Amino acid sequence: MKPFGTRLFGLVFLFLSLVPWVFGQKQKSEPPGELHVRADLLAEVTSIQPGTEFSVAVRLQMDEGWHTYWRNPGDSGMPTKITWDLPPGFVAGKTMWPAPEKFQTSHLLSFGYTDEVFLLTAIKAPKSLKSGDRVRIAARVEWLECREECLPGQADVAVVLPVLEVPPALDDRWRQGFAETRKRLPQRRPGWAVRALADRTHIRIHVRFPSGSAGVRGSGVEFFPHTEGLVDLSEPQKVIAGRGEVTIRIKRSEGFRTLPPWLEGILVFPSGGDARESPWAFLVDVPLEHQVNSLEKEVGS
Amino acid sequence: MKRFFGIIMGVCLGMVVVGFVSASSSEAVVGKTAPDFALPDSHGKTHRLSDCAGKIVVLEWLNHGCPFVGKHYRSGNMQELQKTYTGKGIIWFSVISSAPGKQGYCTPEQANTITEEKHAAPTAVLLDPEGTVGKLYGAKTTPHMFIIDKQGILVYNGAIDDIRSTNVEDIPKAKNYVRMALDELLAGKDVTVTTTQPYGCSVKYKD
Repeated sequence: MKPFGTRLFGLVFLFLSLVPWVFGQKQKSEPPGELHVRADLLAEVTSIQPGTEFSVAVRLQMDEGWHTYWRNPGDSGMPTKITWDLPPGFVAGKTMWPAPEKFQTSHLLSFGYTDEVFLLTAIKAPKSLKSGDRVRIAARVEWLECREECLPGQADVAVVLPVLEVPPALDDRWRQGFAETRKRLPQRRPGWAVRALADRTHIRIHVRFPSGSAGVRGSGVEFFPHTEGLVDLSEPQKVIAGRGEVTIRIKRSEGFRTLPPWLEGILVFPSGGDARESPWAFLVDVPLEHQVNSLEKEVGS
Repeated sequence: MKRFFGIIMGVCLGMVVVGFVSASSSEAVVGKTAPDFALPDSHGKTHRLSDCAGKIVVLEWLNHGCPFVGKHYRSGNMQELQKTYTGKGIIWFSVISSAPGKQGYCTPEQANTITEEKHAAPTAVLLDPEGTVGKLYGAKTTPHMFIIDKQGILVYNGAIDDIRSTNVEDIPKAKNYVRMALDELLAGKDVTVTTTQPYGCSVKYKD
């Protein structure tokens, strides 16, 4: 048993030694701090053929424990933003986002990526390019990186490619990365019928797939909306799987009063994709049918 | 006897339904009386919502380490709102629900220092390290804004504005829901946008 005085001294000392640390943390809160995510730009091809389209990827490499966000970050966070800086005549398509992971904390659910992600974009080159030109594809990437805490990150990234008249070769360094990413991109499936209905409290997505859809299991499917704030993420989704069909019932968010005319998002199936036993994402992109009774109530509210 | 069972069943069902509702959402419901609370401020004074009857009250969930909060304080946006509306008799509480050891947690002294550094002007900074009031209101993010009218009714629950970013340049372009609601209330009107999805960092509640 130590004398009380020593203990008290110890406590006071401990407290005093913590003060600068705690205040130091406060100082650090202002950006830019030390980042835990690195961004670069990778081209899938080693050259550009005039008038053709090629793919590039913004690669985000995240330190262990850190994550960045999907196009819909969920309850908290912010999607990564890419602003292109392209030479005249070049056109960038929309960012293609692989299916995200879920991050569940005690009270919030977020969507995003850990470790490494390729955010793909198709770039269309103009016909006017001449063999021997060198082209610089550049972008500003802005993201929010979070572990327990969040920091905004930003980087200017670029890749330089030569112009050649011949069809381009794939860059072996990134071949696997692009291929793996494409498996995680949402797919359209011919012959699949999708309907989305909304009433005052819920959205229901009904999917009917052809009997020949090998390995597709409806149970365990989950919907990730593209629109931020549309659905109540704290409420588990209800899945009713039948033979060749599945219905997902999702609670609407109270904070999102005006229903959009269109429902966009992905359905992640536990299996039945290209790699049969791996999860894969199905693209939902259908009109959102408003049920009449709810419309009346909407007007009244 | 049948009737008796019917009543018992009804009561049980009611309890189940109530239990379900309170489990899935907070007690703060727009259009209903805002739940009362008592919290100490950074000067040690206790504030009760019920003591604010007859006044409009704003609750702002705060974590100065959060970049979304940083956007509104670096730009001076939050301070301007606080000054404008406390100048019109509105009570503005900034509530810190970060647990000790987590981002945004402040001792009373730290809360006072940072309030001074940021030239923040709330009526008071309330300290909620247990997260009791944060959870009572269902505060999800920082910032997350609530407005209570003079009758004690919760009239707004949601985001500060409609651009979900950490970029200061977005502030002039954004529609500020809090300003809209407060101006409507001060003009004696009903609040038009009563609920939105808050955005920001997760509230750093204790584990």
